[in-house]
Amino acid sequence: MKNMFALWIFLTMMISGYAQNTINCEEQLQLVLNKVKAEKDMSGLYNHVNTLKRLSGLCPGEWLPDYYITYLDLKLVLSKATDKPADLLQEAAEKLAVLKGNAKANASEVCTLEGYYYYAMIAQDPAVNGQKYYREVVAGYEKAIRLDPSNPRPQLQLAIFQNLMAAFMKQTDSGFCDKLQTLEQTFRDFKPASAVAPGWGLSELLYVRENNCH
Amino acid sequence: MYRSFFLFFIFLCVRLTGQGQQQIAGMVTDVKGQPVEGANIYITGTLDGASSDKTGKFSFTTTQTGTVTLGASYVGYKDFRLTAPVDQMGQLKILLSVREKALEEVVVRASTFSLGKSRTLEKLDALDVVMTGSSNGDIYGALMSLPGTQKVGEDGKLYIRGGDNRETQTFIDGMHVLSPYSVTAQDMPARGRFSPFLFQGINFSLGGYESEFGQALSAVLPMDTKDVAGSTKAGINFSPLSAGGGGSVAFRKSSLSANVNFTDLTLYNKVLPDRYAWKKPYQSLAAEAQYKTTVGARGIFKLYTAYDRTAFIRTFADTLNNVPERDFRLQQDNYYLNATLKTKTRHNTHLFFGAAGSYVANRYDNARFQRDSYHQNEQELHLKAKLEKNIVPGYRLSTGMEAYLRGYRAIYHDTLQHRLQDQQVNYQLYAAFVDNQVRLLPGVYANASGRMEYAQFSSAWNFSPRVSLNYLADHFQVSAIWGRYYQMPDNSVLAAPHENMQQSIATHYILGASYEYRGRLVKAETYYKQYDQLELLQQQVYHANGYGKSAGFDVYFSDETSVPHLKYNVSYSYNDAARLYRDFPVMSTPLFASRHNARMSGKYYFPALKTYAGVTTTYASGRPYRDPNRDGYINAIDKDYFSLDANLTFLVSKQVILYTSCGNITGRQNTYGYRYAPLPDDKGVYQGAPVMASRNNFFYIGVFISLKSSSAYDVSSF
Repeated sequence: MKNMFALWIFLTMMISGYAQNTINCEEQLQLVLNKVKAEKDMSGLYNHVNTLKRLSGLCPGEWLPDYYITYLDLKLVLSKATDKPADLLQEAAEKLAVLKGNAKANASEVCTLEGYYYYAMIAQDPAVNGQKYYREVVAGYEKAIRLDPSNPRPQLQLAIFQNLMAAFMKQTDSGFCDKLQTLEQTFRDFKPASAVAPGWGLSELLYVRENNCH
Repeated sequence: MYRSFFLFFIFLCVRLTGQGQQQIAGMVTDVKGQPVEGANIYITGTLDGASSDKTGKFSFTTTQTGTVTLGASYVGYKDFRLTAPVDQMGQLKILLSVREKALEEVVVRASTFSLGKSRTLEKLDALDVVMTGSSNGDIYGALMSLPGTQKVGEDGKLYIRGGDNRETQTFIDGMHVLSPYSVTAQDMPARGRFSPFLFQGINFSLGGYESEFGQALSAVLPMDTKDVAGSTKAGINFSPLSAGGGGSVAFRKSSLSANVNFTDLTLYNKVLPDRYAWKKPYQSLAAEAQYKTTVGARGIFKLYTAYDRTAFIRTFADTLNNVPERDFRLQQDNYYLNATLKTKTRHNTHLFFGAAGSYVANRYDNARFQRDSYHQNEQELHLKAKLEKNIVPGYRLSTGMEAYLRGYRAIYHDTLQHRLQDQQVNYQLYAAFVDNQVRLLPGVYANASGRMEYAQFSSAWNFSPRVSLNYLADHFQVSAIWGRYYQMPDNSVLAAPHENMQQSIATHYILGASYEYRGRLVKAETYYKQYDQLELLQQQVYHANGYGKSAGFDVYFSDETSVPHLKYNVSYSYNDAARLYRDFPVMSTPLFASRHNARMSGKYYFPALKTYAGVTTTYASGRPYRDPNRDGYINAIDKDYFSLDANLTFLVSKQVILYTSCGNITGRQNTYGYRYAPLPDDKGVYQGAPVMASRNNFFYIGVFISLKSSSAYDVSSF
């Protein structure tokens, strides 16, 4: 009986050890995303991107690690916090190709990222790339909206891009602030599919509104 | 009891030992010894890892014990792997070597100009085509600003490196287009039928192309249409000579696009008359539509169709041939249908299936005399299947087969409606091709391929081998290419009296080098083409006894970065061509070949004016022609050609574009050789007249309006 007790203890510990080595992708992703949220230094995102890459390797077929790698790569490029934007854009393009071939991925979120990718390309050299890629930016966001009209991220990014285009043409997008007002409610109504599903954008909206709408 | 607790204690020790932490540290550098920042270093199969800092250093702890596999990776470098006891990983030196490109990513620049790369996310800038000064919005016009092309102003078609225009063939999504040009009156330059905005990738090969593309002796122009449209859009355009509109409707996984344009030169000819007398000025209706849908996660199906109707009546007399005045009437109906399916299996095998049909009907009334008629129609069905796969990392195989089924008929009725001529020809051509791409050494790539064809017309098998060797460094490339290409003679030749006709042959030898650095590209190439089995008219019967050669070199420089907002390129081509073919009695320089061709093209954006300006200058030395008043066959050289062309694109508002262009601003009277009367006059002189375009200048002004508020500057319906 006592031997049985010892064996039970042993088995319990072995199983718990196994469980420790087996990754719970969602939990781990949540941990990384929490660290990303707490990160104050943009360059510190590098480490989290690399953690996500390790997680991606451990969770084959899961789309969210690849999604966040792409998103954070593009954020790094757009924030100018990297001196290797070409490398990050290449990595983002490769991950986008993987995401587009992943049937599990949320197509609306992937299309949003695709528009965001071309937006980051334009930001590298607006005079040259603006002419080349503006159609892809608009098409990516519009397709994302068509696939999921309740997704606020492509709506926000499209509104911001159109506002920038109007500024480029020395015009004003008179409805921009109203759009942001409406979108804030869309963001608040949006319910992510899970705790780790894409939910970014609201803080960007508030920041943009504060700087553009008085 | 004690024994049980002892056992438990042992197990606990084992577990706690398992939780002991090992430090892993080291430095990551590249082969040049430079630190690699941001590399991902980790224990495979775990989340344990870290990133390298600016000095390439890293450190992290792991609870793993014993032998583990450490990985290190960074974009653009080969993954690093080290399997060793974890306690020996305290001071690692990790050397990352640059990853060789996958074979499908390797882009060889030799003999090729790519506008857009359809294999990557980078897209064609169709506006580059439109804004080329000499293009007038035409793909072929834009390509004529590239080296290797020759200016043949009276027909506007592509003549490459001493080759005739039919030696250059156009492919859409890998499928052949029988008639890619619009039809025009004599000495009026033709335009391409297809809008540049239809395509996301244009790869123009001036020789030495892959075995997939047969039936072209000089050059191929494969163009890939855009993928499924992401957004719904619509637009209209109008100008004094044309009006049109179109758009796309995007669905969840598919899109449907259509475009219609109507051109009528009536008003234009009234305001700016040309040298011709028009009873019914040039009119054309061009319509195209495309349905695209994704098939599964990896496939795409495209169905494209285009229809063009062109008609005009020109009143003229052929005084040199003593033909009285007549109302020459032309009507062409040109149909094209193209269906392709591209997909990729789970094992990364790329599959392609395509079918394309072309039908062109030309009706000429009062062709030679008032009330005669000449009807001609051509049709083609092209079928193709292809497979591509990376067999191993350094070897990529591409193989496939295709069939061409062609028909041609020409009927001539004289002024009394007697059928004087009824020529007809139908034939099939079957081909299989294999293309082997191999990485021999880092940066050294070889390609060995072959194409076997069976031409039912001549009951002959032909084999086309091709070999290329390329060295590709970061910025520098050098390539040597040898290939043999076959092409059936023109249908009009096959329908005429002939004997032992065979496919014509061109053997290409190409040596080229290029250097690209920060948006600047220098290319230099030399080539030699040997022609055999060309059609030769001997005693009014065609034989495959003609031959010829074309040799020369091209140099090219382009720069996108030195001056903000400016893109420009300069090129020079030298060509020495001679051939014995068609009705040539002796080996001579063909009439379309000029020895020296130079071009300079630039595009500049004026931000304050929201305006793009494009300017192109073209120079070509005089073309040869035959003057029967002199001794010899091709015995005279025409004056040099020069043209200055420009366009301006104004972004009037977010949704309105105003486009203007002017061809031959200086108004120079360019001539393209001379035509002579077949018989001398009573003084024994052959009367002649220069071959000239119908007008010296061509002006265009058009407005393009996007009807959707969210799309800006988008003149594309696709």
